[in-house]
Amino acid sequence: MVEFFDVDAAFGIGLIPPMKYAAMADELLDEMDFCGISQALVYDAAMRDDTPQVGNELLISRIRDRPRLHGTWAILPHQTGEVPPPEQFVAQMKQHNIKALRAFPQSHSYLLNGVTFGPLLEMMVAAGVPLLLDEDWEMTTNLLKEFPRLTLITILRSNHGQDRYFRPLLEKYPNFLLSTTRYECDGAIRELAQQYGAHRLVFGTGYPAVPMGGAMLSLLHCGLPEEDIEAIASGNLKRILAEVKL
Amino acid sequence: MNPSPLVQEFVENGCSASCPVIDMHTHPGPYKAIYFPNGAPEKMIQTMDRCGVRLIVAVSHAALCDPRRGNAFTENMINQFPGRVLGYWSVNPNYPEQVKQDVADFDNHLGFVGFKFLADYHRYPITGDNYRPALEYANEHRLLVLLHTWGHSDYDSPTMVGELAEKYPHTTLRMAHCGYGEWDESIRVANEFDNAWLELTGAHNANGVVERLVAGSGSEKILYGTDLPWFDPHYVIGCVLFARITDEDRRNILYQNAEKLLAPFGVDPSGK
Repeated sequence: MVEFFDVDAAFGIGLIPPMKYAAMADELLDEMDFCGISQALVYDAAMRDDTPQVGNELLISRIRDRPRLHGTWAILPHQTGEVPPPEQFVAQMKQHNIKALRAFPQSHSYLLNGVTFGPLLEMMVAAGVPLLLDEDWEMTTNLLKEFPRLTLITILRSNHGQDRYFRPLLEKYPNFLLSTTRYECDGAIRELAQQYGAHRLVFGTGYPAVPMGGAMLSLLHCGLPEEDIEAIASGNLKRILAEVKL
Repeated sequence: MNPSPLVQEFVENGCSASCPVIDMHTHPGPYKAIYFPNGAPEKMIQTMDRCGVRLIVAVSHAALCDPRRGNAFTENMINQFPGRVLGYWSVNPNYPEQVKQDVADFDNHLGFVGFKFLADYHRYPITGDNYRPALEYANEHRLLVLLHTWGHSDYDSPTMVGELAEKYPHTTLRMAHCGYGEWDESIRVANEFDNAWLELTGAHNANGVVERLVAGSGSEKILYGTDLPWFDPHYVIGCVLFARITDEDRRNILYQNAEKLLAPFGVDPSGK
């Protein structure tokens, strides 16, 4: 059986809850079990909808003793003093075994670029820490121009018509990856993997906005060789996280 | 994992011999805003085979803009793949004289089960006069009408579908996208009118919607659709399979309800 490791799942209380959601980590684990997903790289909705300072702390406490859930933190510019400076922030990441970061530039009112985050992004490149970012093609393109070696995983939040934006980025930047979240177009996963390599995709569901089962079944029967499906389903993300050196 | 035998069969094989899916909403051919790897008719048939989809009802993308050119595209696909494809006849309400001619031409073409309205895109309300020839014809001949519907739309809200359902009781009105976002009103309309149905295309990926619709209207009023090639059939099937509903609900949505609606058009439940 293929192992699934979801790069894009959340629990917690957000501003506007989906019809179905997981308020706490154990509810998320229950849904993962029902849908055949073994591990997830998670965030707490408070990281996005409250503040990173509050949400990052909540996340740590809520996934404690749940080894199938792997934490991410949200970033903020350190210049306002709301979060520690980059060196201290990275030290805290190491302390809490945080191996991936998320950015919500629009919700949190900042520009995701070298002027604002230069030292942190340089540390991320050096340590191989992946950044997870919702689709914003202009910002993504500019960020990759500045930091071409950054491991950047883009997460689609709308489901169609994005290939013309991200395929040029896949061609130019080898550390740019795409989550399969909302990549629902028939044949899209298979064609993208055949054209750019299965190592450029990581499995994501977008839970709780999106249900988990469709994403799982779609990848499982996408028509790629089994080794490619296994790489996308869990292998690629496991490798990326294993290579993080904090 | 969900222990349902039906779910297990789809997980292991990608299809189910006992659950031959019928997709009530598909669009062959290219579309301006989206790159489709599998948009060509022959590739759609390959997808159907891979996913255990027995039959689709199609209206080409081209027909949504230019019905004469596009309906011919749909008709070619129906003729090219007999037994696998039925069609909707598209009308564009922004060309009212042509609508009358197109409706008059409907009966000259085999394989079409009704009309398709794309009111939000055409920015013309489904209750407007320009759709009336098609609705009157559909009512007289007991045809299906596939309606793009969206919550709180000025052109095709579920409340407006309710008005049509009352006025044209012999049509079967299909609320594609389930009046996205205005779920409870869509459920109300489906419950109040025997001829109003919910259809999952594009609504499938709103987490919890399948459970909410089943609880509200019963699975007997819900149809499976994908906008193929917009959505991978397995993705939508997975959203139904992993919803917390019964296997009988899943079968109703995936094919049994469609068989009932299509039986008057010669679709045999045995698959012949």
